[in-house]
Amino acid sequence: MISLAAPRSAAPQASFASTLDPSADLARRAAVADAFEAELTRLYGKQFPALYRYLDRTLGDSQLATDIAQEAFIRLFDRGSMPDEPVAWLITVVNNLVRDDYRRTGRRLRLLEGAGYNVGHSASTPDASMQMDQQERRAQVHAALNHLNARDRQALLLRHSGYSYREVAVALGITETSVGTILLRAGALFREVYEELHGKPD
Amino acid sequence: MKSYMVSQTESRHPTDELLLALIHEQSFDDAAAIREHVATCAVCSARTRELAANDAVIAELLGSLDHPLPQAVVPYNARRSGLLRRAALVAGALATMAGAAAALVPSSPLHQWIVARATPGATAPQSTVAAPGEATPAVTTTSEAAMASGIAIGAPATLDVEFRREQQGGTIEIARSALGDVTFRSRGGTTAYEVAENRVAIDNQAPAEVYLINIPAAVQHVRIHVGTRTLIRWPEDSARFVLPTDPHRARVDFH
Ligand SMILES: [Zn+2]
Repeated sequence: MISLAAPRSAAPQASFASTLDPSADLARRAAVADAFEAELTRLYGKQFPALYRYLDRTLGDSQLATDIAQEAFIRLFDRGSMPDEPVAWLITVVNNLVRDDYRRTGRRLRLLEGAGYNVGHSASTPDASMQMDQQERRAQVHAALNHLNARDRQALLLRHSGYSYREVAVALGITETSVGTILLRAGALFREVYEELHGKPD
Repeated sequence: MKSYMVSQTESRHPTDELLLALIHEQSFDDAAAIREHVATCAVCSARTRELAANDAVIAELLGSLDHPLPQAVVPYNARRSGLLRRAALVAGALATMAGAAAALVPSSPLHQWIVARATPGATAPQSTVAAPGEATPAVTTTSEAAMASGIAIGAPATLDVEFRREQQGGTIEIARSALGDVTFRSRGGTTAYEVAENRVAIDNQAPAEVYLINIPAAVQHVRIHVGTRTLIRWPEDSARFVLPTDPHRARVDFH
């Protein structure tokens, strides 16, 4: 876990002049920090939806997907500067967090939204059967995805969450050419297994 | 996209990978040449349609996994320095913070939690989050409209839930589920939560009508205390409180 108190490594080396004038250095650091925060905010607005979609599809748990997507941005904030490939960096971090979460023994604590009064599943809701269909479909899709190896599954889900071949390649540490090969193979296997398990999709 | 070195001549059809890339990607090195070939080659245009149809089926299947993007995104701030250290979280703070963030930077909840993280003790309007080590949990008043905010924690094997104060009226609803986290929500009133390893203290400063507690099966023993008395022990006392219509739910009145 990166400490919140980690220094802002983004701050440039103080110039000779600014070392003589601490207030100028402070102002410069503040400006760099502001620029970083503005960049981070922009990146968040642009990248959160795709990152969330990828995680939601991977985990089947929207709350956990939200938590992990947020955690990645928190870690980027803690990092204090933009990596060379911010999008790939975020994907790498969430992939690690997902892996850690699967083997986690610790506890998580989070705030819940005050969105409703539904706890658990009520069978009395009018659209219960529709929800059931949807849940069944999701379980089927996850079952088929589980037949892919981790890298192929990640590539397929990333691509279909809106990431480019280049972003997928950098995030997974493979060449762009192999992204195409993997997508073709993973897509074919996914559909084949899905139809084997559940028949042709409607 | 780079590094496709396949030569595109009239006599040679592009690979499936390249045709698929043509469907997926706006532009890459050989895209124009391949597109031109596909436009004039019956074999490749048929194959491209086939690949596109297959890709659309996959996209739709994967799309069925989607849950809506969360409206309000909350700081994952309990993780600031380790899990489950003393933390006071405030019911209703979420909605207020999300609102405050929206007021500052439209569509950027991030801004608010950066402020909260960067300057500990910074408070959003109408809500406070207690700093670590602060003596009393901070409190916010949930508006009548805002209900059932709360907290969630991973499931310990044994759990003590402690209501700080006696209250007239009010109900505790317990739901047992197979999986998931322990969750606490309240409706009405003023509620602050304090979390420790196997214990959650609920400061019911203004009584809520209903407290909802979800307890997954991983939690084997639960005790709920009010003030100094023990209200219920689970599973020992559960038979008395379980709903006749649903063995996975229980309702307990404060008195
Ligand atoms: Zn051709």
